[in-house]
Amino acid sequence: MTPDRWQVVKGMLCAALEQDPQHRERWLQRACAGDETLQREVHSLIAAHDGPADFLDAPVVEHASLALPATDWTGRIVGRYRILDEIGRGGMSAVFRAARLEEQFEHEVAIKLLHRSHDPAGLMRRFRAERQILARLSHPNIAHLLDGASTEDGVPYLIMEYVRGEPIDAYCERRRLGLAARLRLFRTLCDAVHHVHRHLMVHGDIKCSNVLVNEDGIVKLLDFGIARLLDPEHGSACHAHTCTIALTPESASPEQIRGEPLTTASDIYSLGILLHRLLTGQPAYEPDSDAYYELTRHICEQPPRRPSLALEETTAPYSSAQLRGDLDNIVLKALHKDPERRYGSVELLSQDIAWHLGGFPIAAAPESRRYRLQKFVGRNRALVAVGMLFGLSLVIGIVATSWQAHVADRERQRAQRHFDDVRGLAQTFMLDVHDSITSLPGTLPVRGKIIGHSLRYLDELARERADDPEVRRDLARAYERIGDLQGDVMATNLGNNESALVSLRRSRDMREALWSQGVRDDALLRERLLIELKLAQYSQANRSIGDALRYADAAADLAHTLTQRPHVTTEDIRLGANALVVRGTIQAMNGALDAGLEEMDRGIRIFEQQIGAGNSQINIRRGLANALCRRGDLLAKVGGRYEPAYPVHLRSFELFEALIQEYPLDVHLRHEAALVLMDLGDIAARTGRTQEGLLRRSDAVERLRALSGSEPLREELRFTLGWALGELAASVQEQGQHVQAARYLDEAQSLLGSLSGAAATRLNTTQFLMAINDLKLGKLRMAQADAVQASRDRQETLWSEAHALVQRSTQVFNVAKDDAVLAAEAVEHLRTAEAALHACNESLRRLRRV
Amino acid sequence: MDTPAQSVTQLLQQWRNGNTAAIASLMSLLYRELRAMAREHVRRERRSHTLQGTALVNEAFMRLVKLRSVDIRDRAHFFAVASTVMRRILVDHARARLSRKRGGDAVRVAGESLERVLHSDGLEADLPAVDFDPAFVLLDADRSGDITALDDLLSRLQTFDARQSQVVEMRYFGGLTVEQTAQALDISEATVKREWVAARAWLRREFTRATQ
Repeated sequence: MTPDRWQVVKGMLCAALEQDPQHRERWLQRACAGDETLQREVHSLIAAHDGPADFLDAPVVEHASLALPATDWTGRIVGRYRILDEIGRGGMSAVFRAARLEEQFEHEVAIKLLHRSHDPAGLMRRFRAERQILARLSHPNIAHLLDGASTEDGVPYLIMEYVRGEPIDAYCERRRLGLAARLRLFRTLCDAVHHVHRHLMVHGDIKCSNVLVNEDGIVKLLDFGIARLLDPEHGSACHAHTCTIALTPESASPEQIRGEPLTTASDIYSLGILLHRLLTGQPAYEPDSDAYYELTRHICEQPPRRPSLALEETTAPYSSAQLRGDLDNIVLKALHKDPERRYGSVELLSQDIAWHLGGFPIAAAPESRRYRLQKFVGRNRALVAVGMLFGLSLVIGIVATSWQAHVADRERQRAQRHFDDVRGLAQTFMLDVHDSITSLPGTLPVRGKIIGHSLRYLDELARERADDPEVRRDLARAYERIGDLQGDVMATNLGNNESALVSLRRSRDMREALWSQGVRDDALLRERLLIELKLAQYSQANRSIGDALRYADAAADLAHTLTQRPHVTTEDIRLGANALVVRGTIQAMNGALDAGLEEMDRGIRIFEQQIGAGNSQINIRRGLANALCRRGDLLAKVGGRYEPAYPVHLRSFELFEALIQEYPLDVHLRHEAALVLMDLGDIAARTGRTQEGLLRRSDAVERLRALSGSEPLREELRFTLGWALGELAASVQEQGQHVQAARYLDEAQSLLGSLSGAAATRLNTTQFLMAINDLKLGKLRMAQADAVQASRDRQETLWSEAHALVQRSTQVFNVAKDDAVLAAEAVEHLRTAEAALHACNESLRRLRRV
Repeated sequence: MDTPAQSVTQLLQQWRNGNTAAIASLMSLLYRELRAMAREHVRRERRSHTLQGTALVNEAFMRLVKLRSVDIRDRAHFFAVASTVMRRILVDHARARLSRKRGGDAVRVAGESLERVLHSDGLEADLPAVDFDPAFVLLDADRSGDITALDDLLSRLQTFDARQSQVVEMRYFGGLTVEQTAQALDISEATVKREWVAARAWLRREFTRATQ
């Protein structure tokens, strides 16, 4: 057949196949127009096409297997061992059971013969380099690597502890283990992997066939350290990373498939895959075809199947309902595509499972809850909202940046790792506690349990490693975080302020003890400074004025030490300036306004000097803006000096505006700027700039509304918006716009009512703010009733509504007047409320008399 | 076995730019790799005892290219090359097996088929001498006849419709999907389907004629 002729035949064939089979023959006859050879040709091809399926329909490559028969190693001598039998083969190696030659008793080992391409010399070099680390890794659930060498004919091999057992998934299936038993086995494995990670190593090839369980139910992790030894690029240095392409793609993490270095997060991913398999007996991904690239594409791009959906209920010893929720979330968190968003450590993964087993809430909640970690900034203004002047955001800024400095400190990687664990744990507390607050009122006992449990864990850690200052530092950090948590003004009840102080003091004492024992690094110095600053502010919030001043003085002293060192960093300078601002604030609030303002000005001058010297770092400029805002607040609210406060606030606001231009995506900046704008509006109104005041406050509310709309899950934004709407309502009411004021207040109440604090059983700032708004609404009704020329019935309705609203607010104020933080403000509101109630009663009586 | 990923992508690029020598280097590279891997994979782990051909090609791809920033077309081209290599490996195996059954000389037959594949592909570059080990491929015994017959038919098809024979090679020997084949040959998926249907009809007819 010639190519041209074939083209004709082919064209005719394809066209014929498109015809209706019934009319195909007739069509063909007509189309061939008398060319009988062509017609016959196409006819026979159509017949072949319609014929039975044959071997052509399945690619041969799917049936062909390529392999060589095994070389028989049985009986051969390798080093000082005789090979007994083969126990397994992997992509790059074969594993044999072997016995030591000269020993009387049977001492069995596993010998892993590696592929020749593994450059025996390099392998041995790396093995020698790592031998010490490997030897230190003694753990009952890790099969140890004993030795490495190469045979006479150059085949490299590794000698490992021999484990008799079966792969963990097969073990679970054969014994038909229940869910709890599977989870407990998995946690044992986690302990082993965590042990590896604590020694700054990565396993790199965690999969079912590398985790054996023996008849006694003992779990052994195999092949530890091998991925690293086999990796010529990274193996030689003392590196926590290794890079090998997994030959078992099912358990490979996305970063592994992309050829990126392996990290502890990759091991956590592999553990997630293994857990998925243990729970469901099914793979985590179900690609459309077996093609390798399909699978890798799924791993890199597609979400894994939820275990509860993957489980085949008919055969499993438990139901998918038992996997739904917690266990789904735990597995999915471990399998997150982004390593950063998996569990921070194996310990946390294991802990979460323990919590699930114990019936506690877990950390791997739906992701949106992460936001709660960032709610501290909101707390700042929550305090302002209840009449206090502290900027905890100052402190939070310091915490965040000192943490980053900590991250950069590479020499302290080991400490870092510990810190990660404990830090992760502390974060988990927060997540958990907030979980329980949002979901259920009255969950304080659960929270207490979780905090207590975690503290016990930490204390134990400290006891176990009493000589390890790192652990005690971690413990101090954990206590600090717990203190933060207990003192979270918006979410928790205010009575906890006292317990927050206890935790913070404990953290402080630990750091002091470390310091006096000679641990004198800059990081500890900074941490000591931070804790003093926090204690000063919490004490002030609790009206423990003496304590507040003492802590503030201690902070100033530490700041002085920090900034007088020879190699002082910008960050230290900023911390020093902040310490002055905080001390100044506390002095100003406790009767020494001018001295306090002077102290603050010293801090402000330091910020200005930095900026003048060309330092344009965001933290410095933000520090200045915050300090100015606080200075303005003190001038206005403590000193009643509104006119001098106006330019200070204006400048603070302009600084924020400039920063927003540069960092348009920074939500916190926008939030802070809106709050300064609120204050600026207040001061403008009080200095006769009525119209400006109203505009500024409306602007602020618009900004907060947009912010809260773009981040609907962040409670602190709704909280601030609720507060700001209440303030704006007061401003417009002064202008006589009652309807508009009522509208703002209604919006505020519905926002605040949606917050977790509203439903809590114990008093908190959300409830307090709602009470203030109720009082405002009540007074608004009273004003409307006074103005209305309408019927007596209408007037009576308005007075009754006002009475009910004010009555409700007094209930909250009555509880709040016993709260250390809220007492002063509560008493004041109570006085107003009682007067209003009196007026309501009077009017109602008058109306009913008539 | 540690071939830098870059060289493979470079070769693929050169091939795209019309350098036919590149494809030969690529084939010999891949061939060596597959052989090395097959040797290693006598048995895969504890459960599955043999390595499926498709998986092997995929792993070869992983090992050679490491998926580092691989252009989607490079990937398709790689699998196209792999199809040719797989064809050669499988056909040689099948011939060796048949000739062993007949008591012939496996190596000689294998050499012949290699020659033929080379010529039919129009490749002039030297391929490395390969020592054939019949146990390299584990194929159902009754497939050997089909495969050698198919290989002969494909060589015939090649003489009057080269593209069609390529489509068959990729689909049947390489296990490529329609989409991948289209990418590798830079033609539409509809064309691939049409070519495949026509080629299959022709092959079936000729196959039946030959065996009758």
